[in-house]
Amino acid sequence: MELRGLNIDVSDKGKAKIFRLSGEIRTDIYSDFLEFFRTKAEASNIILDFQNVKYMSSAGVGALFNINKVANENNKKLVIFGLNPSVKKIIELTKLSNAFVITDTEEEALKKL
Amino acid sequence: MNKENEPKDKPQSKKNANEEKIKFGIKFKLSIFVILLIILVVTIISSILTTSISNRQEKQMAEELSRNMHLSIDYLSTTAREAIISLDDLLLLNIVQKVAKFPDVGYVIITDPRNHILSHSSDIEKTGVKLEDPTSENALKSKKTLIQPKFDPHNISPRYDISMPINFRGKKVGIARIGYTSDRIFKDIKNVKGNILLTSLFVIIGTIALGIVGSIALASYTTKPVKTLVEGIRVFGQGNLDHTISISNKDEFGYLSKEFNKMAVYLKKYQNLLVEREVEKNLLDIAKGIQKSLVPQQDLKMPGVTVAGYSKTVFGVGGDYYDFFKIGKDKVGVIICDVFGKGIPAALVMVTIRTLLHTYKEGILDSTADIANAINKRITMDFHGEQYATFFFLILNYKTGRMICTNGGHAPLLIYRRKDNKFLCNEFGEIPIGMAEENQYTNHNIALEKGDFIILNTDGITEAENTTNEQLTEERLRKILYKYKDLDATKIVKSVISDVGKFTAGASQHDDMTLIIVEYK
Repeated sequence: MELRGLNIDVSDKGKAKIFRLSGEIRTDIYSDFLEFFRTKAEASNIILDFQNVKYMSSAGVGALFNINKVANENNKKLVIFGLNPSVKKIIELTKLSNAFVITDTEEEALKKL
Repeated sequence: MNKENEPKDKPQSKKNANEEKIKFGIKFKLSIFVILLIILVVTIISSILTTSISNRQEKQMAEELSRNMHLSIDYLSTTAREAIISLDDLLLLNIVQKVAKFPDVGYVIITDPRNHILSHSSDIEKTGVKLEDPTSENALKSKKTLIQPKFDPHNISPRYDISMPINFRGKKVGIARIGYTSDRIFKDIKNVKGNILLTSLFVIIGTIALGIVGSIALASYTTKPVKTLVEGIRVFGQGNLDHTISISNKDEFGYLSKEFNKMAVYLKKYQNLLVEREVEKNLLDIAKGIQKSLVPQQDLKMPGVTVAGYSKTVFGVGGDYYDFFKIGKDKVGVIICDVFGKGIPAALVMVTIRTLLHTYKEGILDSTADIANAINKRITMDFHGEQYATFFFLILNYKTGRMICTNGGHAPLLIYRRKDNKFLCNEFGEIPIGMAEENQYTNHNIALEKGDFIILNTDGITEAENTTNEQLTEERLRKILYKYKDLDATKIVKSVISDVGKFTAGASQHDDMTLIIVEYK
């Protein structure tokens, strides 16, 4: 699966689906990114591997917030791990760090489920 | 609509115009080609046939002549021998005159063994005269039948002299000679040639006439699909994309018509898509126009403050919104807002925020947080927690420099402090609006000093990319701002936007850009 500037690989792991993202989450893919993960969040727990995400715009944080909301409404969980400092900074600036379950590693992420 | 109807109104005149242009159509060219081909082939075949038939006729006649000559001379010598032996001059004369009546015979002469005339068919007075001409000399010398000149069936001479010695018991008793003329043969050959030529001419004319009719019919049959195609393309060209070309031939034309019909279907689909896009684009243009009219049309200039703004939408309607306005006697309100997402949903959120802001702005003079709370509650409820926006809202008392502001998930407040010649970054704030209905925003008090200016921008500016996908970044933005720090707010905005434009030149942008400079003086 590829959105403009972002590759998404999916694999099953225990109770969750792991989506390994690589590239950039720019403002112009906001709607497509949101639409793609909203349907996934309705169906299963989601772990997002951010290790290869170089950049995310504040709109991307908005999209994650919405996906998280959908997951919660469906009694599913969204866990994000491996954020680089610039992505972390964006989430901090939007004051949404507490809205997400964020871990450093995949093992920790799996434990949060 | 007028444009669409135009071609349908004048199909007849267009058709005529098109037909006039075709001076020598395929049908005409094909007919001429086939006719010329027929003429060439018929002429060549006729010439060969004529020559071969007339040659054969000529040969047959020559052979007949040769046969007659031999038979006649045989007959003459045999019968004349009897008369010579019996010395019967009268009988000899009878024989000579009888043979002289044979077809093509010019003269008949019987001589003695020394070439003295014994009997002559046309001149009885020549009896006894000795013949000394070369032909007679040759005839005298020859011991067998001799034809002079030599007989060649391919090249018939006008006159022939055939001679034969008359022998009796091994002794030459005389010479029989017959003179032949080929006049009749030549005449016959001429007639035959004439007849053949005439027949050939009739055949040629007949074949050509048939060929013309046939070739026109063939050309009509062959070019019919071409005409159908041309007609189809003409109708199609007038905008009737429902038109189909029906050529059932199982040849190239049939294939071409099928491909053409396929193309028409694709074109029709594409045209419909274009129409839909056009409608969408028109709607977007209208929305874009409305959105543009919702932001300040000019900079705000008051004694003590100048607010200048700029906004650029990447495509259609955008999610950026900025506004500034007077509040009461000595305050200005400034807001910058970045709605997540684009298009109609983002534009609706933007319009709702603006409407709420303008409804509340006069009532609350000293609390940006109260307005933010009210707007957030409304947006979260109306858009079911699905639409979000970051914002920075400030109210500045330009008499005192006291500023109250609220940050909803937006970039940190950046102030250029002239006194210290440096930028101050103020990281405070809460989450974007639209996420949590009961979220409480807070007021932050900041005191500006004369000469300071505030920079408000959406991340479309700092994240603008150049051709090597490098972002402008906060750092570069500050450098640019520093370069223009001594200009007024209006000029700073213009110069910064110009520099950002140079940085991104040639690269496509992904996000809207908005920049506001609030200059306190």
